[in-house]
Amino acid sequence: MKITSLAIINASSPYSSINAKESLDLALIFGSYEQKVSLFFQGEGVWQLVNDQNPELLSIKNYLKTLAALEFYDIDNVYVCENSMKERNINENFHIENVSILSAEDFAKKLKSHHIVLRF
Amino acid sequence: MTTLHLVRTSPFKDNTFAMCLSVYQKEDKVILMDDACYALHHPSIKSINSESFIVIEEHITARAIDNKLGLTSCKIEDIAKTIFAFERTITWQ
Repeated sequence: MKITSLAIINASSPYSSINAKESLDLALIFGSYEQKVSLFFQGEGVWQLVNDQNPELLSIKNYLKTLAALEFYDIDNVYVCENSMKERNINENFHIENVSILSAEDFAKKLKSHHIVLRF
Repeated sequence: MTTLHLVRTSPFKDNTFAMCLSVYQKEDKVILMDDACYALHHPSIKSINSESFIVIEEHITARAIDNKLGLTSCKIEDIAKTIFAFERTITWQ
């Protein structure tokens, strides 16, 4: 049986649209069906990983906490674009663990190794 | 006319903030709200007159953005009062 891998690119900031939440919901659904899923964070998406956020102040449920549950869905591959972090002056203080920070070249290579790519 | 600028989008996403800065005059005030909070991490923030810029406490705290420049901070409920203190408001989004 052919194994199809899915890459989900998160390119949206967490609170300006519902993209980030929908992307996470999709990742968990695919994970619950035991599909091979990897998460990529690029551009404005890297803001989703910043530690100590508190969206309840904006009357938004803290759906970002669900990112910590990824391992229970066997979603172990989480990649962040190093350039996107540097541009935004963001350090590695993320609220989730086991995040691989990749150079632009490695990020592209890793992405290309997946059959299907969805971008949010 | 005194102008209050409300900037709502991230300068890393589009050039809305840059366009605001290009029309901003020194007697104006700028409120960085919603994703414009991320401007505090953008290089263009170094060129601003920090006394003219206001951030919303709840918006920066929600995003865990550090107000390193010590910009004036207000609460969400203060925005309406601030808007009425100006003759004109421009929303940049």
